[in-house]
Amino acid sequence: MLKKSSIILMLIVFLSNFLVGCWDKVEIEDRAYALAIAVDINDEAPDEEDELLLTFAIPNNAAIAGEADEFNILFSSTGTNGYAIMRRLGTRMNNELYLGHLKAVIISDEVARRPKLFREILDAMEKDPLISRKIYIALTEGKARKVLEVESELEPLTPRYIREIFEGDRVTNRAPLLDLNDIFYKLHRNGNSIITRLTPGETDVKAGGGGVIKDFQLTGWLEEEEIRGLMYLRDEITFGGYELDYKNYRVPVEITESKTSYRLIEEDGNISIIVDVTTEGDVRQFYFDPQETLLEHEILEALETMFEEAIEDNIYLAISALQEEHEVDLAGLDKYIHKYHPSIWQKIKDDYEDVFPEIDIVVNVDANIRRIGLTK
Amino acid sequence: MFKNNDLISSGQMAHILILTLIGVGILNLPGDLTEGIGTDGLWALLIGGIFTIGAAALIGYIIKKFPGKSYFEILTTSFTKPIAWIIAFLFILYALMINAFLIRVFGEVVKMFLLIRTPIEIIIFSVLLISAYLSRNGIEALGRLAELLFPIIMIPALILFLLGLIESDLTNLLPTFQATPMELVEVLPTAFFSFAGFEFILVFGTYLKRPDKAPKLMATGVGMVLAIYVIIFITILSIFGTEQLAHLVWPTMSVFKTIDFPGLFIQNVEGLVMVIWVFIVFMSIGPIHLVKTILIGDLLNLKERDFMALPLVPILYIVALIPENIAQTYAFMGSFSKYAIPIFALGVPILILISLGIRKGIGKERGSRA
Amino acid sequence: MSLWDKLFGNKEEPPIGYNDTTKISKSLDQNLEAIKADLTDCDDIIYREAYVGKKGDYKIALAYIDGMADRDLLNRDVLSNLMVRVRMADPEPKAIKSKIQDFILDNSLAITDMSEVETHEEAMNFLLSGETVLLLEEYDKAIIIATRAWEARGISEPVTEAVIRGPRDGFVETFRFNTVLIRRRIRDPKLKLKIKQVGRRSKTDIAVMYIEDLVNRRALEKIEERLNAVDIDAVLDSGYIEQLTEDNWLSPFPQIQNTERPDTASAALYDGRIVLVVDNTPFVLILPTTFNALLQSAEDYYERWSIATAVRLLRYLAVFICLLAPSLYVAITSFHPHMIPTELALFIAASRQGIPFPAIVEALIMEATIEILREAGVRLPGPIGATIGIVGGLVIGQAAVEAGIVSPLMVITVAITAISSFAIPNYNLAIGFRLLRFGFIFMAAFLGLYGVALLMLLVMVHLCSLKSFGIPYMSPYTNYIDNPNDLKDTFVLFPLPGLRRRSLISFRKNKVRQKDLRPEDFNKEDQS
Repeated sequence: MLKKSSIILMLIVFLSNFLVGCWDKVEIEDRAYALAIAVDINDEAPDEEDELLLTFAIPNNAAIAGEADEFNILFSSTGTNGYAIMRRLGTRMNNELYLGHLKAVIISDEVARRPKLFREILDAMEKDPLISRKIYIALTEGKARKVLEVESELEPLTPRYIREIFEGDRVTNRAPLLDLNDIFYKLHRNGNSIITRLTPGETDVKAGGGGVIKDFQLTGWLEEEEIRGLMYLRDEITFGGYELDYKNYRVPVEITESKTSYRLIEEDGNISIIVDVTTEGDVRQFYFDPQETLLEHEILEALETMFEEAIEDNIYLAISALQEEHEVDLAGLDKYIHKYHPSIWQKIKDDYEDVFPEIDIVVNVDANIRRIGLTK
Repeated sequence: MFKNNDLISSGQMAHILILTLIGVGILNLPGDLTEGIGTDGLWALLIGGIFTIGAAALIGYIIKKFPGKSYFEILTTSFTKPIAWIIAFLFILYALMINAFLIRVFGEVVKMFLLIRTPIEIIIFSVLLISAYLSRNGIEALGRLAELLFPIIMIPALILFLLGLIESDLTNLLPTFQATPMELVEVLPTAFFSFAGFEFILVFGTYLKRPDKAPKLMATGVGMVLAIYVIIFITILSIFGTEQLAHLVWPTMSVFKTIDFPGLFIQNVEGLVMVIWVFIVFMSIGPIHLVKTILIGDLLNLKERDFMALPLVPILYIVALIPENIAQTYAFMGSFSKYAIPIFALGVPILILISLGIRKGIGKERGSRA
Repeated sequence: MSLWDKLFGNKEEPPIGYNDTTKISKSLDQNLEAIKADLTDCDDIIYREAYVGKKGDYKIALAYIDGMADRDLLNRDVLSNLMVRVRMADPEPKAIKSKIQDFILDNSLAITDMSEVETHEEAMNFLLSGETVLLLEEYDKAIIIATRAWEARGISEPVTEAVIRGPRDGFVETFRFNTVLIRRRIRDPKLKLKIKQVGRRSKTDIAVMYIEDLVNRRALEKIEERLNAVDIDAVLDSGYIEQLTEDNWLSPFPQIQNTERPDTASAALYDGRIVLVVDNTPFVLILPTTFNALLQSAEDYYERWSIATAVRLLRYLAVFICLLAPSLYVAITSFHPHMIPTELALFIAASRQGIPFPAIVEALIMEATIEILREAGVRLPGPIGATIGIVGGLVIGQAAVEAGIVSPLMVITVAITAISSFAIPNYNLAIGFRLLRFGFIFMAAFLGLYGVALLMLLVMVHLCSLKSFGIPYMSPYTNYIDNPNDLKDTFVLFPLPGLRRRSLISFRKNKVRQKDLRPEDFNKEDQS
């Protein structure tokens, strides 16, 4: 008896839920998918309350269904923070903005130079449960909205185009292609990071170079060559190449494998770090019908020496940029010291910012050419 | 009595134990441990785990020494009826608090990751109804469910964690052995608390088919949990690093936002994770709900106690909603568990053992006199 | 008594049936009259009164039902013997006078199967099941001559459980054929067959079959107890018995398996299970059963193990799809679009543009359509049914998309769901899943993925609490630590030489069913 009535009670309570339920139900076509966001400073009131100008790139459903040509719809509004701006946009849009499919956030250098604003935006992204940590974040010189306005001929949906630039890049190493998780990881460590720079063109976007974030603030840029050196330092090189000049033959060498390791030597309080780089590469081009043959040991050795020098120069270029120009350790040497030499780290961790430029960094490169292609 | 014949195998009991423990501890495990001593949390976890294995084996020993006796009967024979009544009543309150805390955090996580606008009341109430249904069906259904769900939970979870390890940096576990022994000792209670829940097995001990195997199964169960925790700890720490870990409320959930499932139908694994997560926490909520149902039945000397599962629902519901926000929930639970867990997981079992020893001594004396 | 009955004061009345315990008397006329009185207005009964004996003054009477008894046999072996051979014999008249009954019974009837009953009820029972009742003068017992024979459907291939490889005979409506089909496969004196009659009016024969030294004793006790408790007017199909004896009749899951295949039934017997053969139906019951057993097909064991394993995995996938596909569609599109790849989400959004209904209504429309089509397909005559199914599905799906009522992805989802439900070998189980699917759709529309997860938990708790005659329903998945052996025959199937032990269900002794083949390497001779 008790059993039956309790079942009936449970049923009533449960079924009554259906009468009021479905709070979170929004049909899939009733959402506006913000695939990319551009973060700018509001030019009309750069130092007042509504300092932020956000631009949301939303795909056009009709175009995806094949019934329109315009793929990208841009919506902008100003405000003090992202959520206020989204609410404001709500007054102008028929659908609700949805961040679950966000692919990229482009931040203008003006914003990144204001540490308070920059940190607010980063925290908003980290707090939001819908935003994946796999999205890409980029800096741009000038207005970020310009990047979203680019109409690429390769891929009509601009946010997807941007994401594919990040994901599909396997031939160059001229930009640090970090996702949000990497950047959070670095920023949480010590407030320093490097963020990809996007430069909008007429019908395309270029990812090259990167912005130096020091103490949650954009302090300068690293150019493409310096980025490559930096990636060698960080042991993140997996591809890319150098052009060697051997007796007026221009010889491009493609990197196939690379490994970087560190050694630390402490003498009288002076720290010096030896960076050992071991790289392998392939010769891709030599000369049609050449006098010499690449199978000769001497030529390859000469090429290897040149290869090593090229890499060394490249890395030193990055080191000087980091130590002299920016005075910030983006190479992750602090991480290395912390993990493998914790006692030294204890001594220097409090004024590492001052210690880093004084560290003596020596680069040793061991480059090997493994393959020469189909001809001698 | 329940509809079934109320005996479960040691394997099923071990599964109940493992799932109950994981549900309680998994949420903020790495975050709590790395606070203060950083990467050495791993050692604190290992030491705390080995200590817990001992404590759990102790409980198994009690079950072995009182075969077929219910927790209330054990208490009565050890401390006389009135004291047993008080302890059992406090135990019910303790289980109620832990259960309410679990349910609240469960509701908050579900709300955060899946149903942002749905009132938390609905989320909590619906899971409570199902937990009451499980309690009505008794220990046998629970034992089978635990064994059935274990691979369903563990296999995908392990695959996901391994996927997470692909892009992680194992050197984040370095440096080690930096904490002083004192610092390590200070963290040990936290490590111990993340294994809280094994004391509830005392109540289930009476249903064990082979009580003589109890110490072994308790130790293996906690050992399994320790192994699982170590895997989770290593994965999360190597993905986030100590510095970032300090900022995350639920690092275990955030891990899955970093996992890429290339070329699959699911883009974000969070959906799959949330389903597994619901299963895991339910397998903690359900057993503790059943513990209360059984104990209340014992206290009130009821013949048919399965219907007690339903009146508990509104009580749990109200208690779970008392804290105003998640911060208060954690603060309250922190100060509560500091005293309650040592008392019920260590204190009471040790007292039972002491009384057992005394009675044995008396018995021997009598025997020798006679 | 339940609350309902208390409130409305319903009184339980016992069921009534034919009940006439009067003994058969010495007077033939009286007996005959009594039978005729019970069977008034039953024009298919044939009575034959005759006089036999040397002087032709000893009266006998035969009664049988036209069409149910073998008339040839009656004419040739009963009547001609009685009327001709009894007359030709030349015994002592006096002795015959007193012992004529014995003489008839022992010396003249050329019938193997004969028995005597003492009450009218029993006689009526036999008469109505097709036997012939022979009444003799001055004899207070009725003689039952086994003449049961009626037109029956020949043994043909089972419709619901067709296989590519394996025996093609199936059970039929005739009780005796069915028991024979099983006996032929088990030449073991330990195979027992106990016949019970259930049904106050229908008196349906039910054979409880089991192998004595393998059977699960507890299940056997339980089924006998429950069969004895059943008191219903008629049992028209084994479905009645199934519903009246299963452990939990509120559950959507069948706790007794049914089969049309004698090989499946025999395999179950060899595994220590019990088979119930019910008269008048080709569906034989197997109990106890488990969820795992319901997802097995006879063919699995005839094919190579690797193929069978692949097929079984596929079946589990089908269960998953059949149960969850539409609800996952609703949950993901209406609640969590960030879980599917962006391209897909955008495409669904674009294709749903302009559809007036929310996803749940869309799902319900399509699900209802497909269920109606399926139901109609069963009723329609054979070849048309299949055609209507395909044409209806294609045309309606296509038209619904073009009319802007549903999105193309929904049509795909529903189609996959419907196909998956046919991949489940046991029809009863598939119906259960079809029903639960609607529950999942509602929960998905209410709480999204969380609702689906909760209902999944509820279903699993329910499945774990179910027992079939003492065997946990989800076994062996719920006790693999203690019983790892049973996992060999689940979603994976071990090679046949590896299946050396019977499952948990069988009697705890006599577990070994096969010698270990490993020591005997078949290739040894070739190598030497």
